[in-house]
This record gives sequence, structure tokens and C-alpha cells, in this order.
Amino acid sequence: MSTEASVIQEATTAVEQTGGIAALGINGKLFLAQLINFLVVLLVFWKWIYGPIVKMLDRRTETIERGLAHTAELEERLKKVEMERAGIVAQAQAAASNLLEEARTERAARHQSAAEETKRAVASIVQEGKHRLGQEKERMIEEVRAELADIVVEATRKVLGESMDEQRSSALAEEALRTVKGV
Amino acid sequence: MISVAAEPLFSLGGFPVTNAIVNAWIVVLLFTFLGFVIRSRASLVPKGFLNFMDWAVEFLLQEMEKVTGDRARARRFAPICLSLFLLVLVSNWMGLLPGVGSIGVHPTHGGEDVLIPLFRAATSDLNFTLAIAAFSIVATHVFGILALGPVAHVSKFVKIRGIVQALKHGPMDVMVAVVEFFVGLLEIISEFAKTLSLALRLFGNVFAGEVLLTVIYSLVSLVVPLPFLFLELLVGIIQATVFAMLVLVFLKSMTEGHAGEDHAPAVGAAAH
Repeated sequence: MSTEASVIQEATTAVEQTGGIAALGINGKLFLAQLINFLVVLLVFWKWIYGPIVKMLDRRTETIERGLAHTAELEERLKKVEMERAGIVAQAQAAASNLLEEARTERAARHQSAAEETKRAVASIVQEGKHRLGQEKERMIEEVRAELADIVVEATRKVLGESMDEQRSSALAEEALRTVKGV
Repeated sequence: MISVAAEPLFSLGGFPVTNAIVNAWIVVLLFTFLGFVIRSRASLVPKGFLNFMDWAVEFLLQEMEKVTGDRARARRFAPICLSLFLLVLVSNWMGLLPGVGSIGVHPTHGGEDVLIPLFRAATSDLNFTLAIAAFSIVATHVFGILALGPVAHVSKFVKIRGIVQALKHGPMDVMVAVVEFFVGLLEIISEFAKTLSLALRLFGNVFAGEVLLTVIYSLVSLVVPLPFLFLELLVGIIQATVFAMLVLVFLKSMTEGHAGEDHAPAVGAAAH
């Protein structure tokens, strides 16, 4: 206890001898000098270190944000283009499908009309053929009839010894022909 | 024997140049050189050391933002808080460099050979710690006035308006207002206490570290001091952080209304 008291006493004496606060080294000039030192560091740090770095950080952030915004804008535009492309493709597909359908319909119509025309042509050809055949048949019958009449006249002439006159022989031929027609 | 006060080496036109102020000048030169390098090489795509500085500033701003609660205030307070942090940190660590505190002149004082070191950590000089503490507290008031206006700021300490308003309500309110008025006066005293507390905490920790290292070195010079040296490295960064963080908290509480005032003493008490 006495040691503690003597230490305190010594400290007190020392402080008193050195002028109180001066024992801790407090000195107005030094205080001011240290304050100026700090102010210089503060200024240097503020203007030369912190300022440029923060400016760079801001610029970098701005650049990144601008890049991201640009990317988003591009993505948006890409989406729009993609949608437009899909729309155009869908439109083209629809148009192609319509064209195909129209072509099919037209082809079917043409096919049908061609078939009908062919049918009509065939029918007309058949008709004409029939008509020609009929005419030919008529002509042939006429020829056969004429030839048969001649044959009958000749035969009759041969049988009767050429005694019959021309008027009688024609009448006979006519008779023979009627018989043939009746057959 | 280590002197509590920084030892004067020589006089420059009546100005006592102490070993602590020599260290402070070295730190100032170091910062000026660093600032010159960074200013001339700052670019959008930094490399090497500048990259590290970018990261450090960004990281410290984020940490400050956790205290201030918003980016704008963190950026406004950053120059003061970061320069305090870096200055204290570099000064603390410079005191651990070989030669600091051990290389010096040996004048004879009272028949005894006394060592006066050429270099001494600037933070182990009370003039330095008191200067930066006083500046910080003044800065908190300047920021407070700028943020709230002079009337609102002074009303935090001189609460006359409360008494005038309480007169309309009744004697009980007047009593409370009078008590608050005296609390306001106590707040003024606490501002001085804050300054002293900031200065003495930093000075005490760094000076104690120096004494500890000197004692250890005088006992065993090899290997044994190493853990203590690492401890002092840690103390250096912790004290720098505590100082800067406290100033940040004071700045925050001064720029806020009455609601934010009670945080500062709690953090201040925790730092002790």
C-alpha cells in the first residue's frame, strides 16, 4: 500500500514539475502540426485517391449498367424479330397452303372439265361414226340392191331367152327386190 | 525507459521536431506518393495495385454502408473515415518496423546514457491522436449542421425550445423539460469526453504496445517477441478500425434527428 502511495506521489510530483498536461507531451505547436499533417493526408486521399477511384467505380458501374441495358434491349429486339419471323413464316405457310389448295381445286376442276370434254368428243366421234356407218350401210344396200336388180334382170333374160321387153324386166326386177327386202 | 511524450530531436525555428512528427511526415509523403500514382494511373480497367485499391475502396464503402444504412451518406463520410483509418493503420504499423524506437541518438542526461529514437509511431504521440480526434468531432458537428440546419443541431444540446413548449402543458412537463435541458448540457460535456476518449484510447493502445514490445525485446531479442509483434499488428488494425468506425457512428448520429442519438454511446462503450 505504501509502495502504491509513493508511486502516486512520485507521479504527481512529476506532473507538477513538468507542468501537468505537458507531461503527456501536449504541445500547441505539435498539435497544430499534426493537425496539418492529417489535413494534408485527408486532402491527398480525397482528391487523389478516393476521388479518382470512386469516379472510376461510377464509370464502371455506368458502363456495366449501359451494357446490361443494351443487352436487354438487344434481347427484346431479338424477341421481336423472332416473333416477326415466326409471323412471316406462319403467313407464308398459310399462303403456300392456300396456293396448294387452290392448285388442287383447279387441277381437279381442269381434270373434270377435260374428262367431260373428252367424253363429249368421244361421244361426238362415236355419233359421227354411227352416222357414217349408217350412210355407208345405206349406200351399200343401195348398191347391193342395184346389183341384185341387174342380176335378176340378167338371170331372167337368160332364162326367158331374151324375149321379154325392157318394161317387163324392170317390173320383175322391182318385184325381186321387194322380195329381197322382205327377206 | 520510454517517454510518454514524443522526444524532440531538434528545433526548427522554435518548432520542436519530435520523432513522432518525423514519422507523421513520412506517412504524409507516403500518402502523397500513393495519391500521385493512383491519380496518374486510374483507369476503367485497373491492373495490379490499382485493382487492389479499387477493391479495397469498394469493400470499405460497403462496410460503411452497413453502418450508415444508405450509400449516399457512406460516400459522403468516406473521405474522412477512410483517410482516418488508413492514416492510423499506416502509422500504427510503421511503429512496428525494425529501427523505429530502437535507432536513435544517445545523449547523456543526468549522467546517464539515454536513447532518443529517431522514429516513433505517430499514433503514440498524444498530439497526433488528439488532433485527429478533435478534427473528427468538429467534422461531426459540421456535418450535423449541414444535414439538420444550425437551429436543429444546436437544439440537440441547448434544449430551451422544450422548456418553452412545456410551459403550455403543465408543471410536470416543465420539470421533464428542465431535466432534458440539463441532459443537453451534459451532451456538450460528452462531446469533449468523446474527443478525449478517442484520442486516449488510440494513444493508450499504441503506446502500451510499444512499451510491451520494448520490454519483451529487452528480455529476449529473438523468436519470443514474434507473437507480440503479430499481436501488435492485430492491435494496429483493430484500433484503426475502432477509431474510424466510431467517427462514422458519430457522423451518422449527428446527421440524424433525436431518434438516432442513442446508438453512439453504446458503440463507444463497446469499443472500450
